[in-house]
Amino acid sequence: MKSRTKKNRPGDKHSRLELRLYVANSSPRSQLARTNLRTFCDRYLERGYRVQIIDIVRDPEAAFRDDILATPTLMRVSPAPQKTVIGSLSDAASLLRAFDLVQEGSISDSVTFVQSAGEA
Amino acid sequence: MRSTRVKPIKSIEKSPTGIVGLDEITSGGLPRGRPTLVCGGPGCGKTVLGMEFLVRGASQYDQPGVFMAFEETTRELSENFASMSFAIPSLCSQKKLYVEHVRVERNEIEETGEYDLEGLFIRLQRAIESVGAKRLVLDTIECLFAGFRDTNILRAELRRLFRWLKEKEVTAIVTAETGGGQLTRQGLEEYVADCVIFLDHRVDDQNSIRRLRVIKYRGSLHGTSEYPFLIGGDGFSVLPLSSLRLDHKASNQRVSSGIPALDAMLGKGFFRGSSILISGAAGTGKSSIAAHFLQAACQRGEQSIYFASEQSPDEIVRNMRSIGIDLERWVRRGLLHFHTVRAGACGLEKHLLLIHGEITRFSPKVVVVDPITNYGSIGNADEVKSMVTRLVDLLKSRQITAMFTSLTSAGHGLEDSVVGVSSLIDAWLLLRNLEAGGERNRGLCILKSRGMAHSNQVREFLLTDHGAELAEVYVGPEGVLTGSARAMQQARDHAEAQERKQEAERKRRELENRRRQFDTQISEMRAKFAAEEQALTRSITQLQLRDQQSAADRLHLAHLRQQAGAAACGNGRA
Repeated sequence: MKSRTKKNRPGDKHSRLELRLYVANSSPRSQLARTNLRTFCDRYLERGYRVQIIDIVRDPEAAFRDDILATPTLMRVSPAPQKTVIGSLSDAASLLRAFDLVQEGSISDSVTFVQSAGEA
Repeated sequence: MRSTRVKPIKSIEKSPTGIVGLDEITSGGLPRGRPTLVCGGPGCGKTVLGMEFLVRGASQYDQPGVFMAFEETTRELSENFASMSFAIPSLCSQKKLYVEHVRVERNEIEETGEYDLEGLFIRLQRAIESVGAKRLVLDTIECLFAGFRDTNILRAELRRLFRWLKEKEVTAIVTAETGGGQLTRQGLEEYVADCVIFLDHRVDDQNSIRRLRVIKYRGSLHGTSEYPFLIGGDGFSVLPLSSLRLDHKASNQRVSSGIPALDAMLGKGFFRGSSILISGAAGTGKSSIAAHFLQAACQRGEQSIYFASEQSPDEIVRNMRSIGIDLERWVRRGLLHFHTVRAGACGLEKHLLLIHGEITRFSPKVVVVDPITNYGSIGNADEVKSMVTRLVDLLKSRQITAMFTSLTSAGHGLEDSVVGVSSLIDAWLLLRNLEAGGERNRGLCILKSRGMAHSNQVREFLLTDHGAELAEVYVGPEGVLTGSARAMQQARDHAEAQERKQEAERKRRELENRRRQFDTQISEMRAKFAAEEQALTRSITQLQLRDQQSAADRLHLAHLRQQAGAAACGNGRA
């Protein structure tokens, strides 16, 4: 269970963004998702978000509690409503769309991340 | 893919479901440690079968189970099963059963990139470990196809799942819905290759019929027909066609029909475990014979069931009381059970299952189905014959002596009216109306009785206020005499006999008189003779006395003369 928190910047409109990534540690796809999520956050998110990474192999209770079937699963816990994206998070555009982060110009230069699990 | 030929070949191990009929059809249960696919349309009973498999496993075989519900929430499930006798909450609290709802909703989930279902595996693992499960139900895993768009991933994951389940050695039931002209919408039968069970729920002529079929069972003998089943408060009841084998035990023991004269016609009664058919037109006394038969069983202390589809228990009790049979007494003692359902109330299969259920519940030794011909109205001839065949088989396999009554109607052949099952029957009694001399009487004869010498006589069958009786019938020039004709004949015979008896009596009296007369004569003659004898004896005595007197007189005279002579002139002799 790792969590990375970047320092909140007061007044940021995404200050309450909270993400949770469920991974199965052994799985290459999960590794890939972590890398992709890190890249995504660095590129598209301003500071003040929180990402929690949960390894359900070590914490099966979490999979049960949060109704996780697929790994990797990225969940927006906050702000409500809860949103879920599954997969290795290789398409930044769909992430932005899913989490209502679409901003002017942000889609046009969105980047497709690493798609093959082999590189992770 | 794992090779299936690595291990030496041995017969497949089975995990009993605890559902009696299903275990019979599958010769012992589902393949142990492997997944079984249960498929069927909506509302066909997949979930119930799965749950019962777990509940029975937990309570009867000490095998804890896990129920993964993809469709219903745990609360919905427990509500749905509340009306059934499954003790789900208590099994859950005893850690013998674990129910988990897996929520699958497509709209909430965005897919980007590759993924796997490791979450599902982890949850399954967690659930299995939580109770030490040996059994697992996935109901219905096809819901996953609604939740995930990438079917290639899904199929690969399902394949992995079934392999994983085998490795875990849990006996699993995977349910799926039929559709698209296939057994399952998503072709799950490809993955689950060991055992496939198909459930069907259809409505024919407004009668709901549920059927079960084992489509495939690798490495095991199984029944291939469609077997009817019922979902009741106790869960599944599957009624196997026991016609798979013909190995009923044949008993030499005899059971009384309850009518001594009928027993005599049959030798000593019916064979135990045999099937008896009583056929006859309306009002020939079929139910009365059945009542006698039941009463005899109750008197022996045997459990018995009366399946009636025409009269209510009250009516039967009242009607039988009129011929001196008190059935209520046996009901109160718990020996006789009435089961009354109108024939049209449900389909044939359901009737069969209801009968099956009652038989399982009471384990009777004697059963009466009155009348069996009523079932003819709710199915075609083949269906009815199949049902009766199965019923006869079921009863025979349990050594239950069964009596079926069959209503014959005018204008139909005998065979038609007994729904074509006479060949299955061991003893067949025929009741007939004998019309002669302006009246109708009942006649009884034995059409057949396998394995025993039996009377070939037609007897008159009488219903008296103290029960049924059989009377010898008179065969005269005009045919069989019954009723008043027989009574008249009997009276005539009686009168003649009486006459003969009186004649003999008269003769005996005459003889007696003669003897008495003779005796009187003898005694009269004796008396006469005695009187004569007496008179004669007296006169003889008198004569003798006179004789003696005269001799004495002579002596005296002589003496006197001697005295005078001597005195006068010497001695002269007189």
